[in-house]
Amino acid sequence: MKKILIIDDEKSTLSMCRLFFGAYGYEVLTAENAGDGLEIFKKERPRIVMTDIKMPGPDGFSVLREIKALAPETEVIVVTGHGDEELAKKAYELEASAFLSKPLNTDEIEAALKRAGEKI
Amino acid sequence: MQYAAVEQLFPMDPEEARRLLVENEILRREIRYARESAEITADLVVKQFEETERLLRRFQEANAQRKAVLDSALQVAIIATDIRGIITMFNKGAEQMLGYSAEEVLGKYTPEIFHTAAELEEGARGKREKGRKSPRILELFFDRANRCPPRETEWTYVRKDGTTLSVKLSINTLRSAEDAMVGFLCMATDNTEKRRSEQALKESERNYRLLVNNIPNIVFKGYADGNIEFFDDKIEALTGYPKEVFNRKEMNWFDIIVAEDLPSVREKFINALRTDRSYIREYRIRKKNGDIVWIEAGSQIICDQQGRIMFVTGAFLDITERKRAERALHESEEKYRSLFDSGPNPILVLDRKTLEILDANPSAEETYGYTKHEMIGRAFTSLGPLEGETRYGDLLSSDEWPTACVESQRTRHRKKDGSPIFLKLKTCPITYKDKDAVILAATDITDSVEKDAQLFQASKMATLGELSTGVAHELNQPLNAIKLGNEYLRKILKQGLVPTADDLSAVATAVSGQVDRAAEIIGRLRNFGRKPDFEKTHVSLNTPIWNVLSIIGRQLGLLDIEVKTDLDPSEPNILGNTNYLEEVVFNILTNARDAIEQKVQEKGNDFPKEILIKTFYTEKTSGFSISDTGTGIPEENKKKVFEPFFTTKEVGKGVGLGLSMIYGIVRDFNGTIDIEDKAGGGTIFKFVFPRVK
Repeated sequence: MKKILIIDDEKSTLSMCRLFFGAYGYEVLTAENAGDGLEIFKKERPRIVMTDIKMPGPDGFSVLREIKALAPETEVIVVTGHGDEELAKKAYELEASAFLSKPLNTDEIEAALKRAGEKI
Repeated sequence: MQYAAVEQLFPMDPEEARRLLVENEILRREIRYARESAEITADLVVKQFEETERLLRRFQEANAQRKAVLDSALQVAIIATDIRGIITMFNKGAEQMLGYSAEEVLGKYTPEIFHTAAELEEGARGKREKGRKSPRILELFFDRANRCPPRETEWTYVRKDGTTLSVKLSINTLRSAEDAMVGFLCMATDNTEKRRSEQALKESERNYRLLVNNIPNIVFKGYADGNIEFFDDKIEALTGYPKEVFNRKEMNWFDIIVAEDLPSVREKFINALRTDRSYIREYRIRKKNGDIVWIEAGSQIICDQQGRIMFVTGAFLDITERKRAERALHESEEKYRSLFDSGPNPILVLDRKTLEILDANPSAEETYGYTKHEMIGRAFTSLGPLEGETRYGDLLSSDEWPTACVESQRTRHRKKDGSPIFLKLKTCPITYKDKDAVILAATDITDSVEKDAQLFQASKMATLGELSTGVAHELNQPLNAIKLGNEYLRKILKQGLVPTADDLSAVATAVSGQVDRAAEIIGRLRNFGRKPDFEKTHVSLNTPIWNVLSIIGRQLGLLDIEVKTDLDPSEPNILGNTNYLEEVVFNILTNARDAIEQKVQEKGNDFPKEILIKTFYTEKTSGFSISDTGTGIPEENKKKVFEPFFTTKEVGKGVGLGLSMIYGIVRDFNGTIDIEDKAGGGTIFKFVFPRVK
């Protein structure tokens, strides 16, 4: 079963993500902060990761950097609560597969997943 | 009259009689005149000078005495005889002096019946020595009458009742038209009385001089034509002209009265003539050196029995100083009045104890909408407080009334129609109509308060703009969860499936919770952005701090800035306004955040990113402090940070009104701000206010 790791400090977002990505047939792994997320990543090695940028402690960019360092082939989708060009630019520089703004919608998520080479 | 009678009777040469009569007339006139002057003078000064009163009493006693003396002394005995010594005339004066009636003595021989034998003997002694045995008395008369010049001799007269009196006797020969001797004229004055009278006059005059010299008044005798006489040199001190120039009629009093005062001077005189003939006038005279002197003259017009004006007697007093003081007082009152009446600021006079309104100016009428009539008598407290703070109560309850003025920054009062006005009050203690009072001058600052409010609102909007990024981020969180839940449901439905009851319940619960959360964020934001009122109420300093943290605390957390609070839960209360205080806290917090962010940019992440908020209180004060671990404020900028438009932030990142606005708010709440360096880098902003319980 394909795995997806969601890192976000919003519990409600995580629970909705579990339902949403569940409907796409994913096994949804969740973490509330960067530290937990990296732990799970190292253990479960999901091919795709979606991380929020602004979180208490290390932010989404540091997660992106670490994962790319550990497993460059991992597709990392970066999500922000309030996107701006600066953040998007930075995300792509760090080789994110996609940059999404909250609130997320189905079309954007599907597009991002497709770009990440997922079959949906 | 006596003089005329004598002249008719004795047309020859009554030189001695004339002299005596004239002398007597002068004496009498002077005495009367001295008395009249003194009486008027007494009216003027008696109240002021007890010493003068005493002198005056003595003087009047002396006068009364002398008057009695003179009444009798005036009676000059005039006795005429023929060449043999047979009495041919015996006047009223002689009747009174000697006690005989004219009928009794006419035809009898003089001097025998009036003279003592001893004196006649002695008077004749010289003749006897020359060989005569018994000189005739008449020979003595011849002898005396023929002496040149004729002189007065003292004789003793014997009255009808046998008593004696000392007289001054002068004897003149009476001659016919042919120059033949026809008889003698004997004129006798009562010598004892005259001597006593002279004594009394001397005494009286001494007293009079003393009186005249001791009183500040200048005694005068004036005439209807403006001639005037003075008796001492004080007139010279007053006018610069010696008394002689007036007394000799070289100068007229009207010459030195200031021309424009003349009409009123005349009018008073005329009025006095119609009434009791006394008057007090105030007018100006011009001194010799040109100076103007104000004098007060109290006068009495003396008329003869026919009602003709004889002269005016009275006294002057130099009242220049008094006039000057009066004018200064008047001017000062005028100034006060004109300021009061035409001043653009509302001014009220309040009773210190009751705060009842005693007076109000037109501007106060306009400002409050009450008429002066409505305001007077009204309690001031019905308009609003005297001051914006509790000090007002202390002020009135304390027995110690401050001598200095007290100012209030901003006090809210109500107009008659109930609408609020904002005033800056200055209250000063005064005495008003002998009452302890407070004069209260107000400045209507309603306009400027409204502008302040607009500025504050603009600043709030800027704050909200500042917040918008963070708020958008925060609002997107619940929206994101709701959206995802909904997208999940759509996806399931699209696949032709039905979500499980558990899933549906999970989505429904999440959506409901997230909507509440979004609503709460919006509520906080709206609360923060609401238009503030200016009412000051008891506020715990913890309240605005919690309110602000609820909005930006999360944002600060996302920047990895640790916000620590050390809030005293009991009573760090002040008299203030939550909305304004939120603005203060928010500005300081965002500055602290910016200082930390800037330090990150300059020196990297390797330092504790911390903001510490404390509240505290002492017996008299409540306060809060916000410290950060940011870049700190250089010494040279510490004073400038409260200036409007001062900013060190990059262009576009702040309008620089933040701290100057904070300064205004804090001052409004009677608070102070201190900026200190934090050990290890960073800044501490410390705010202290008067505490309320």
